[in-house]
Amino acid sequence: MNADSQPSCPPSTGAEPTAAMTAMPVWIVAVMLTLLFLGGWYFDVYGGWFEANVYGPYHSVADVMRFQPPKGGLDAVLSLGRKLFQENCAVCHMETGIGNPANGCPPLVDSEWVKSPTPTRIAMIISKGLAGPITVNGKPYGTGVMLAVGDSLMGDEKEKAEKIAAIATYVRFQFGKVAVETKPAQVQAVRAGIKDRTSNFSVGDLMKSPE
Amino acid sequence: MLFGGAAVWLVLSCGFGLAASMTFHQPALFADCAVGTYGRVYPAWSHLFVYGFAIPSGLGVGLWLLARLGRVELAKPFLIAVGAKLWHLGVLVGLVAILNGQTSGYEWFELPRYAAVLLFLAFVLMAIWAVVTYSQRRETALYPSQWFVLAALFWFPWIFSTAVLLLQFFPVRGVVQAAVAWWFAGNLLNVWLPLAGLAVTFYLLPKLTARSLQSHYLALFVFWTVLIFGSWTGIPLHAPLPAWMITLSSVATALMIVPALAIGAIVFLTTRGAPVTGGGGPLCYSKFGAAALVLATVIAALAACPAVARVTDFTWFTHGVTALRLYGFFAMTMFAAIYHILPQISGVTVSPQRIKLHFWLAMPGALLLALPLLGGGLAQGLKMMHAEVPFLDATKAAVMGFRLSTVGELLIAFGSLVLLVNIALVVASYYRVVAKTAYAAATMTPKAAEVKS
Amino acid sequence: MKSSSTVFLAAFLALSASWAGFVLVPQLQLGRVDQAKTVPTGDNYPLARAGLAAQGAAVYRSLGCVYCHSQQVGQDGVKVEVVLLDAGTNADNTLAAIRKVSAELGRPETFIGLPKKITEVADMNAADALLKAVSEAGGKIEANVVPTGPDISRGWGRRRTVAQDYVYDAVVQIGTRRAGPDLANVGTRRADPNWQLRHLYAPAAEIPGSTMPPYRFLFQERKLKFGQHSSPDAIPLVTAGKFLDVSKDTGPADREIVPTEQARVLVAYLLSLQADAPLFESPVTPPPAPVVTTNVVVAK
Repeated sequence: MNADSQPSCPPSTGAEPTAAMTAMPVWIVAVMLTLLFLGGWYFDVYGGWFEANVYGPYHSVADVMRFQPPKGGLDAVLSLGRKLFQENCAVCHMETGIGNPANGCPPLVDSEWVKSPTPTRIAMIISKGLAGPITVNGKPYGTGVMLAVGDSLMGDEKEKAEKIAAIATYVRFQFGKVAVETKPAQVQAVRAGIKDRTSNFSVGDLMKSPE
Repeated sequence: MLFGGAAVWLVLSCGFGLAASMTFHQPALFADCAVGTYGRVYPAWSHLFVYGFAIPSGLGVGLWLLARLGRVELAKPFLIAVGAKLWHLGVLVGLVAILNGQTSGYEWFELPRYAAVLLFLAFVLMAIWAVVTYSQRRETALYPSQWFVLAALFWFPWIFSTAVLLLQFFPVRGVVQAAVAWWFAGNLLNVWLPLAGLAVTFYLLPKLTARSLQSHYLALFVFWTVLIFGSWTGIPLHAPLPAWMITLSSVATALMIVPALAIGAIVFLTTRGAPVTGGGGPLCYSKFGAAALVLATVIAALAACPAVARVTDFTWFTHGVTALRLYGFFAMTMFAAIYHILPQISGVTVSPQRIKLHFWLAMPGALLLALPLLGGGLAQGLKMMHAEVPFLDATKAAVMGFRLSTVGELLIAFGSLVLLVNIALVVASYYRVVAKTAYAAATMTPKAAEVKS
Repeated sequence: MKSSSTVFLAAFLALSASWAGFVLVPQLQLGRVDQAKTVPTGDNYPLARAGLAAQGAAVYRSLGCVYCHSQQVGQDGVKVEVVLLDAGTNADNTLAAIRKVSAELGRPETFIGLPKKITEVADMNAADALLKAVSEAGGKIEANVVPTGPDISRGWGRRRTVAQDYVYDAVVQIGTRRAGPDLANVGTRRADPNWQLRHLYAPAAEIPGSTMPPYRFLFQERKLKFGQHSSPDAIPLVTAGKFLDVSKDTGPADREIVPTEQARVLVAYLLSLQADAPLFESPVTPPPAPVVTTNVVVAK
């Protein structure tokens, strides 16, 4: 569609349009300024001021913070501990903690090891596992080997300590009715003392450490 | 070239659009055929309409405007024609790919990357020579339409290349893809199409009514506000994006009322009291087109208010607004331009009856397509707000609107056929005249030679 | 009046501003996000899709499912429900403690029908007093964050979807239209793969009145010879016999419908669509884990 090779180029139909230089109606500018103001107000209230973490209906990060689950506290640790127990321990010890005598898996319910005054031994068992016979509530369990479940949890040393502490808290609360939180610091201290150990504990080793 | 191809694609797109609508009237129609499934036919429609019809016709019109307003001829028409052919090839490749399932998955940008590269190269080729044409102009004072065309020539390569690069070659991660895709679509529909269409409107309205454009400053205002506000539209209310993006986009969409009002003022002031020469001709098309743009923008602005958007998001309402913008504004404005330009460059007149026929098919068609979808979408949305209403009931609320809109699509399809016929006849006559003249020149020379000797 | 350089400058400024705002900043804010941790349990989220589901995502995209189905859940508001689980060993003590915080709640009716929701408060801070009082008195109480909105009431999700949910989507298929229900959580809502397969083959048979087109081309229909068993891949048909194409009245026993590879991976993808995990930016209290049957009631 080029203008070169036309047989008859028609003359342009009249002059090209021009634009009058009359002034603009002011009301349009007024409308625009009003809308800009309203828009600015709307952004201020609802826009979250460029925060990447603020999604409607929340208006600001402080708003989102108001609905976060309570951090810490026994309940949070218990729920984490219960989750980890179900994932890692319930396989052998059963969800109800009654154990599996046929496999040599001792119960946790009312176990004196669970109810001991400090969580030291529990932390040791969870970290490095247990091999060899053990007596729980007067009954012997001899054939099973508990693997070093604690060592094989995901995460770095700090996260492992947190997770083992949560499991210990849950086990002691749920099966031993000990309503005292096991702190990650306690577990870290225990693990620091045993960190070079590569084999499972035996009952003899456990008895050597304080209750 | 550009117009002819555009018309063909328009007709085809109507075909696909109709096929897509059939899904809702008779769901089992394409059950056995992967190519016909709604999820492929619908993107085929949108691909063909936007890349097959809208952009080439906008580009063609822009080229003509630059040449005409600069009082100069097009630079290197051969290269521009090559660019046009390359573009159409890209569209065809994209269509085949979409029907085969190689779609990119982003709305308004469904073509796979090999087709996108073709389109980009073609556009840049044509844009470069358009700018060269502009720089060779003899008339140095700039008319508003030229600003719009130049801005459009600059706009498309940027948004398109961003979309191609960030979505297809080096995909961004996660929801940023959606942000980029919505940014692209918003810029394409709310900036590029108005830029190209308003260039035509601001040229044709004063030209065909023999008045001057009222006013230069209003046009300048429209230019700036469309660029600044329109480029921030596109993100829907419920998007999984941080609140700031959604709020900015809503505010921008609401602010588009301002250019809409200004456009309305320009149209009203320019054509007020002018003797109507229209009667179904290009003037009617462009007036209707401008009115449709104003209406669509105002409706979209109102729908940006969260109270309304909560109801209309995810319904046919948004599609209705887009249809009003595409078919009501852009297509009609392009038709106006085509019917104005074709006789001037080819020397062949198009029969006014056929132009009128097309108008009276396309105009009610566009209204029938868009408005029932708005109403049906609203009904659907109101029902969806209440969780106790079963989902199917909400969908069924839109059925009546949908049936009406399919009738509108049929009308538009027929109108597009008329357009195709018109263009074909013009091209045929043009080449017949060229052939005749060449033949006459060839047969004349020997006679002259005989006479001389 | 304007020269071309002014036009160019105007266009450049406007477009670069919006490019910076909607392309650059989101990329900086959200584009390098990887896995996040849920609150409070600290699980990694999201998990990358398994192999079949990843292939299914490509099928979903190529069939254009996104033009009818969205994958985002909206949320209009949020509330905090306080649920009393157990009165504890000393119910009178607990009641007195509650009465100190709220006279209205400190009535004996509060303890009827436990566990139950006793009140709604504005946020977690407002629930603190009650939580503390009851816990110290020995009872069990919890405060649940419950998002509200039409999508959530319809069961399409428990909380709104946020950027973190789409981090591992190769092509994000968020969708902008709902000719069909939202699919963000369809993996939890319709977890039966056979239901999904049957629904793809004949939507109107699973959901009466559905306008979704049947995707028969994703399946192969094979005639069964007399007495031949159906292959293990075939979709188990519903015994009511009305499952198949309602226009054809042949019984189900003489043909079997075997999904193609495409259908299988598509269903795997659909089943992987879940967006419920509690996140910082979209808090929700997840439903309680399965109840542990011991003699001690443990707070969730």
